[in-house]
Amino acid sequence: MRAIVWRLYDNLKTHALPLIILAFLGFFLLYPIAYVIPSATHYRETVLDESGKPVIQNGQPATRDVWTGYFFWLLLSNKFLWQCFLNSVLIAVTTTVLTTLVSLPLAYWFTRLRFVGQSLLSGFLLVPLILPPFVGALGMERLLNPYGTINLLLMDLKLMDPHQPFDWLAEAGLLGVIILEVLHLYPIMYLNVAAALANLDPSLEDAARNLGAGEFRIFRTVTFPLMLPGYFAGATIVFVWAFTDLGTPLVFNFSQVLSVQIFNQISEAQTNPLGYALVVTTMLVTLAVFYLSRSLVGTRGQYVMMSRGGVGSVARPAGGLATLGIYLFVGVLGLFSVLPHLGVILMSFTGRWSFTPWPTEWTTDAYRLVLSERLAYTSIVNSLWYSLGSTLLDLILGFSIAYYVVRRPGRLSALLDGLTMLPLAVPGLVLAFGYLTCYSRMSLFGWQFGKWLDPATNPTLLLIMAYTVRRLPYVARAAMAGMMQIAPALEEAAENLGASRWRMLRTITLPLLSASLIAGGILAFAFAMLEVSDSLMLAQQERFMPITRAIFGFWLRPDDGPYIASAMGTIGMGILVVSLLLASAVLGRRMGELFRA
Amino acid sequence: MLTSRLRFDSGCGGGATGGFALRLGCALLAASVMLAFLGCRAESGGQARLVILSPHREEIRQEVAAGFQDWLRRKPGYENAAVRIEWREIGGGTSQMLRYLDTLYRTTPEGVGIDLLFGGGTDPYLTLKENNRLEAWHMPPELKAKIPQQISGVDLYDPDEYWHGVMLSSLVIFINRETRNRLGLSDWQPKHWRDLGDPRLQGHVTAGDPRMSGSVRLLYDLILQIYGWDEGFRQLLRLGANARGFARFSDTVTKDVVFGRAVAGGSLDSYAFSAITREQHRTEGEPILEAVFPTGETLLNPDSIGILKGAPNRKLAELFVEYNLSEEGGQRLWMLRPNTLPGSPKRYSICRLAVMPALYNAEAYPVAVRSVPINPFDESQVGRLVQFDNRLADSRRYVMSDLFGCWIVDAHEELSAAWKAVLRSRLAESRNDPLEERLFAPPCTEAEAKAANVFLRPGRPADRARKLTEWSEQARDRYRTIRQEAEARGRSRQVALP
Amino acid sequence: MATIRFASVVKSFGPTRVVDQVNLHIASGELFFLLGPSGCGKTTLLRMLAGFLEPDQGEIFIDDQPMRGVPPRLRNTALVFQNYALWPHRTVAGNVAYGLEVRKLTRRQIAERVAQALKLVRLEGLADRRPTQLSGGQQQRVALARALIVQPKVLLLDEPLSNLDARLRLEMREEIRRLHCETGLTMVYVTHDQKEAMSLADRLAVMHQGRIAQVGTPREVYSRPASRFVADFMGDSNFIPGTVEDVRPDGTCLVASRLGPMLGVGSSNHLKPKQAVTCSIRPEALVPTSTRGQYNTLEARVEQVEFLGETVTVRLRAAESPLQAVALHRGSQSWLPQTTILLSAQPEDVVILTD
Repeated sequence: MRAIVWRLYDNLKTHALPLIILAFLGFFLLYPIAYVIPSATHYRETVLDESGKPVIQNGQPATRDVWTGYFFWLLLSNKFLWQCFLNSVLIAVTTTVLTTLVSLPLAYWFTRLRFVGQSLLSGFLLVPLILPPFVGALGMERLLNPYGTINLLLMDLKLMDPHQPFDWLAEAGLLGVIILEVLHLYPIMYLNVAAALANLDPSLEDAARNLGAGEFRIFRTVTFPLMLPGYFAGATIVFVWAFTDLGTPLVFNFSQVLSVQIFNQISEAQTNPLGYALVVTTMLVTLAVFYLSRSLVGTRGQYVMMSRGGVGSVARPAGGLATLGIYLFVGVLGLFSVLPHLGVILMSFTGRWSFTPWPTEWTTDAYRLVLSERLAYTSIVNSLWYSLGSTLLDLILGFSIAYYVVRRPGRLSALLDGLTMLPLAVPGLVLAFGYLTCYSRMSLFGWQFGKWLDPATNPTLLLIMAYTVRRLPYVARAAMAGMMQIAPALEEAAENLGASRWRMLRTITLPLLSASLIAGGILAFAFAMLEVSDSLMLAQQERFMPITRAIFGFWLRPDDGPYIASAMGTIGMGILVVSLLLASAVLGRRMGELFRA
Repeated sequence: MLTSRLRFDSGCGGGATGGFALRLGCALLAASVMLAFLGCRAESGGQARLVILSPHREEIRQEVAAGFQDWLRRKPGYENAAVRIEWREIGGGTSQMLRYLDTLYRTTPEGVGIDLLFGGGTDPYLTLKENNRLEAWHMPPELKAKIPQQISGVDLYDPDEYWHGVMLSSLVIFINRETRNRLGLSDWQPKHWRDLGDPRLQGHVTAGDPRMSGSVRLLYDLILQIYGWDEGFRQLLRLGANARGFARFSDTVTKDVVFGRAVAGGSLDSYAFSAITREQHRTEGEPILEAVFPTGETLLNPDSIGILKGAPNRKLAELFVEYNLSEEGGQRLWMLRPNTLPGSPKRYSICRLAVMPALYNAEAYPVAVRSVPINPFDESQVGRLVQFDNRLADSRRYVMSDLFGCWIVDAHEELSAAWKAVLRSRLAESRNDPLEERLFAPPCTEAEAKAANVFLRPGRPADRARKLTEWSEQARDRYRTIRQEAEARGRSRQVALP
Repeated sequence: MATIRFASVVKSFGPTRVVDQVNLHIASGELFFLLGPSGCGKTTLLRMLAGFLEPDQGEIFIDDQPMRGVPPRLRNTALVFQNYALWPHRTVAGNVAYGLEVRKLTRRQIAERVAQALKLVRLEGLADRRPTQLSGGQQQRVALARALIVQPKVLLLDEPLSNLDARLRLEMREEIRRLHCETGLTMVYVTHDQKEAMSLADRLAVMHQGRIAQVGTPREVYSRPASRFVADFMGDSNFIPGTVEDVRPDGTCLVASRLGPMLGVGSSNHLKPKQAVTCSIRPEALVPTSTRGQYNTLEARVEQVEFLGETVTVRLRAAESPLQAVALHRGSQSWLPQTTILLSAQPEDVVILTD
């Protein structure tokens, strides 16, 4: 008996880390989903008599439980839903391919070449990250109106009939969604690929060069295969994001995608399993993609680099023509991705802007209005607080998970790995709805700790947890990819010299992983600052609202709504820029290293 | 010596990962607990708390909260009252809130910790009352004397007083003249809802999704009630074929017009009026925006409030309802310009119509202090009011939303493509285009719709899904066939012309 | 300085048993080699000693203390990794100082001892370089300095020279020999290069398929291999199959083979008449002779003579079996290609192997 307890204790101690993480994810991820998922196959059906009238029992309409898989079959049999599914897949695949085409050369140039204004230009590449989606929508609308800036300019150039303006937002549909997704998501791919390239031993490329391979051949046969873990990390995130993204299709009012259908279903008042069936389908697809990419990386073996090359020694100075080419590429890309920001900033300073390409009167009224609202201040403080908290938690969790998954492969770590990616497959709305309903009434031995987690009382903890869970995949993926490139011997050497595991992690693993962690952390922070769906659902009181919720509230105001929202959005973007700059100042060279490569 | 230290350490160092894992785990727990504690800022004590679920917007909330506080302090016995109103937000409109309430009431039928539901029209309250989720509150007699129970056949408050309409909503055709003129349609001046189906407006009308927004559904049911089922549905199909898209939020329709994305659309009067007020406030010269009450097709619908069953602060909730209904309270707040009379708003014009006829008395409330110029109780201003049947609308809400959703919103791409093809292939303004007839034929008869309604009710999701699948198939088939025929017609004409 | 003992150590990875019942005793101050082809389990044995792996069965003792459950950091063994495992984010000095930082020495002490250690491995002046800026030999020295500076009980070297070129390898061999002399540390050295082992080892263990095939001094193992595997692995050898005719009381043994009767020393005491055996004769033990003796005389045809500087290697053929002989270049005139000559070997140079 004693022996059994002892062994149990021993096991617990050995697997304490994954078990704690599993408990965390179980409570904040699986439980809310589990609370919601059975609805996909189960509903309470109202019993009808022959005439189609509900049967009344004890003064209540009689119901019976129905368990059915019909709603999964519906996805295949209903042409509209099937079309939505196909559209979602098409968007995801095309977006992944296009972001790859855009990011690969970018990452290659920025890690392998040196040219004038490089760090400035690489900062410019990350601009889409600081676009609050709601406000981005506003900016896009202002520019792409039938009588918006772009059409008016085209009309001035006599390229468009003033009586027949092209309605970009209404007509562009699928193509518009894809283009916007690419413009929004390529930084994710770029950051991942660049980090992978930076970790690559340059002598491996030199080896190929030495064997007479041309630059493209080297890239195709050496560089690309070696950075596959990083590439797949990025590609998985981009695919899943595009597959489940709700904001962009909504901007274009393109509802024939799965995510919008889910959104429609969930906001329906009646309990209908269809929405949940669609959610489960989405989760299955994302999990399949994840395992596919994992097995692709897996079968090619783990690429462990004994040592990382010095970055300085890799970069070659770029020729004048090449520099010009890079500037042209980044310029065109940047111009397009900066359009929504421009629109937003213009809007926030607009006094009068009616049927002219640019505002005709300027004013700072919107800012004065915003700053007279207490909400503006509280929401900024709240957002910073929530984002910092969740980023910190994400870094701790992501690092622990990466360490465990990469260093102690086994069934437990495979489970952990899968769970970590799951939040990508769960639309924020589903998780938020689960959070909203499942905790508030929880109790343990009479202790009503659920009250503490009730978003109606104080959503701080739940918001931080929601942000943490939703953004965990980015940090964990980045950390895992980085971890795979650190040779275990580097850690063993420290242990062998007498360092405790704790010290080893602190002095060896963490510094070696810092580039990946910073990349993941920045993404987590930026996305937490811009998080919409959790914030809309969970922040029910003004004093707990984050920036995005405040923007949404301002936007709904009839009078100056969009202008005030734009001002708030501009402020939000400003805060994000300042915090990223601060981060780079604190982190110094390492941050530069990350962006330079 | 070293060896003895070594043994000692290994005792607490444990297995391969134990010590370090525990420390990392502890750090994790500590971090989350710390965050939580730091995050929980102290609850401000000593205030009475009123929890309200409401789709009303920010500026109404701010004004109501401030106004209620002032009003309450003028009431004997409440001079020092301090009330904190907590507005619950769940990231959606009325239907989302109803779902939220439904979920909560299913777990704790006796009460859900929320005092009031405020706004969202009238029908949510019909359902809530039916499900026994409202508390009755009876108006004091002097208040009851001031508010009629009905306006043109529509209840202003529940006969059993489970809910009370506190303001009136109407629907207008909201127009952006500048966009209209630039498109070369300056002679298009709508008088009726059916004018939104004018072929020249293809792609320039904005509309909403009745499955998303209560006020949008109200508009479509109004059209069905005005024109009758068959003609009504023909008009809805034409409106849908003209639409550039379907908005999720009812105020997006308004904004589409304000920002010139569309020429016109059916909008809530208050949204339209506040946009017009803002335009006047900001710019001089010919106004661009215009709100038209369709002749003889105007509706008035109360926007209500109700005390939820098991309200934690029942007394305060009742006072809040009373405030909303009283003349010096909510009634003035809806109608008056900021800082004009006691009880008027402090910052924003709310532009809502009061339910109390006294507010339309031109002597007590001259037009200068009012933010809404019209008087709904005066037929000469809003035209003859429609005898809107709220019960009928309520009874067919599901079939109406789903028919519109399946045939028009979900199949919008096909519908507008077919309509464009028909228009392109047409020679001149011919009266009777057989393709157009077929394109806009009602999808089913009223009787069929009524029969289908049984299956579309919540509680029969599988039946509903089957029905929707059938409809969307029919719709797509029809639109695709007509588009092909129209294109064939266009080609033959091109061949014939030269 | 410490003694090391492996007692019936077993380790499996999944179904494969990589270390099988290993018993070893390494004396204090010994430079001990674990020698064997790749996959024989020698690195696993080393990693178990360092504490990165725990034995499935058996026990490892350092200074007679059982090591089960003792984490690597408390074993005070310093390991020099095959690829050196130098931390790219630390300077040379930072790498070397790590072990002392862990042991919480003062900054001054650390600086002093790092300087000493770098001097010991002759890397003065490179303290502030990054590992990536060093040559392979320099990296090797840094790894050695990093391991030595903590004054470990045992220094473990995992194929430390395998990434170096031949000249550097010879140089580093000398370096390691010198360090061993100067520090007097117990060292366990893993390699697959038998030349390295023979030139440096005090004693060595040859491993084969997870088992210890033979333990002894290099000279013992070379000249008295216990099995055909050891004989083959430790250098070239001529193997002549035969059957035992007679076991003599002095331990020698008469074997009948296709090439004639052979007299040799048995590798084990269990030889019985009629038993099938293999005679192993090192190439340098075959010398030309003019008279045909009673035994150990082979008649072979010279096929090819390879000139290797101080020695020549001669390829011969006797009764269709290839043979090899090595002789000093001086006095190799008797090896004439395409002639048939007589060769003989001393009985103590003929080892009778049973497998």
